[in-house]
Amino acid sequence: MIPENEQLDSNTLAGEYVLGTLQGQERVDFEQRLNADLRLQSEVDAWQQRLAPLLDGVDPVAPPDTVWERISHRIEPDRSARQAPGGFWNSLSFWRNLGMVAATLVIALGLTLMTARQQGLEMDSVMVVLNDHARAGWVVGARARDGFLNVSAVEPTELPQGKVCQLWMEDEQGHLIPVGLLPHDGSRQMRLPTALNAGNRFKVSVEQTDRLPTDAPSDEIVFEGSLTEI
Amino acid sequence: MASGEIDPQEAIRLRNQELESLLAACALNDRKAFARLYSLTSAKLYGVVLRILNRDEWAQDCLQDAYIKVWNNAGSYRSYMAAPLTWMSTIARNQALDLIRKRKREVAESDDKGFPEQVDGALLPQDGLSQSEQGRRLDNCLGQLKEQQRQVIALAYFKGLTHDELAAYTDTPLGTIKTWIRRGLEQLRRCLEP
Repeated sequence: MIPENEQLDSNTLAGEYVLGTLQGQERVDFEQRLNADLRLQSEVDAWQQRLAPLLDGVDPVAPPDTVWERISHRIEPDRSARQAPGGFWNSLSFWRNLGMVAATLVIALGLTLMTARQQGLEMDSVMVVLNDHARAGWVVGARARDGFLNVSAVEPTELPQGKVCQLWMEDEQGHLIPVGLLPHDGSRQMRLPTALNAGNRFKVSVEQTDRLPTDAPSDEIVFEGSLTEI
Repeated sequence: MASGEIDPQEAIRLRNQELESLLAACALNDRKAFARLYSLTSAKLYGVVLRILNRDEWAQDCLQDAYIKVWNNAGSYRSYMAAPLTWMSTIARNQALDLIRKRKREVAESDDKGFPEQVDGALLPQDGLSQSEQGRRLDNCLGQLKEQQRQVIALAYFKGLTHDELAAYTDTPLGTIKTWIRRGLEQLRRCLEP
């Protein structure tokens, strides 16, 4: 029998998280750690992979046609707006892009605020991180008094294998402090490394997944901005 | 093997290749590719969410949400991390477990005793998970666990049962359940190490 107070190693915790037995407050705490802890993230990934073959044994069942009808209806309004005549990739119209930025911004902010509200987290300032097509890639919401950021992926930049976007916060002295990695999907909470002031700048760099810098971005800065109060 | 018959490993490789290119096309907003991807994979994913949720109506809602996630995140699929169907099935499972947790919270708030519902006995297939190399390895490692450990791990994985629910369902003390799971996971990890 394991005594109640025995410290579980993080790998077993990651296994319990993936298995689903980590619940309630423990699960919430673990997810918070997960946001900032790369090693923990890779342990979770490893457990997803270890256990996934369990799903191989599940027999397929044909779903009713109505499911596809509803799915295709749901993806239509969102993506058809992007299909410019001549193909999205050929459309370089400044005005068209500007219009789309504004539209995705509204959607992005709406989603972030809605999710934050559902979780009882009212944000007091936001920043939109643009992707490589100058559209809303991520939305960063901050709640200064609790010292954390909520980062939601909207249309994240697609990066080559092994690369990742890292968020940095500039302190009063102009030093960059790593905050966390911008998620590929969903949203993540990250702790603010230092108290937030009105003028704090944030930067995003592209880094190698296996060589994340902790003192300064190693590569070019792809985005720079600051939070706006709402 | 009779001549002209396709090697099963080769068939899996070809299928993965097609699914990978369909996912890549989805990332570029190709709705036809998405329709094809759905037609090739939806029965598998529906099987997964149905196994977890047991109710057609929930499973269908969940399947919808899972495919919207696949569509929105196709660009972040990485073939070196997992085979395409594994990645999609994991998305479907996570979606279904999220739904279960949400329902449990609602049930807890309304004092309605809706969960846990009936659990079918055979969560692990009798003839093993032999479709892939990883499946065979996991099957072998699960086989080295005690029967009860295997059972609680499968119940948690497929039904989202908590420690307390597992204790009640298997009529076993909570501390024993926790030990079975922790030791079971540690054993599995050691056994699966390359």
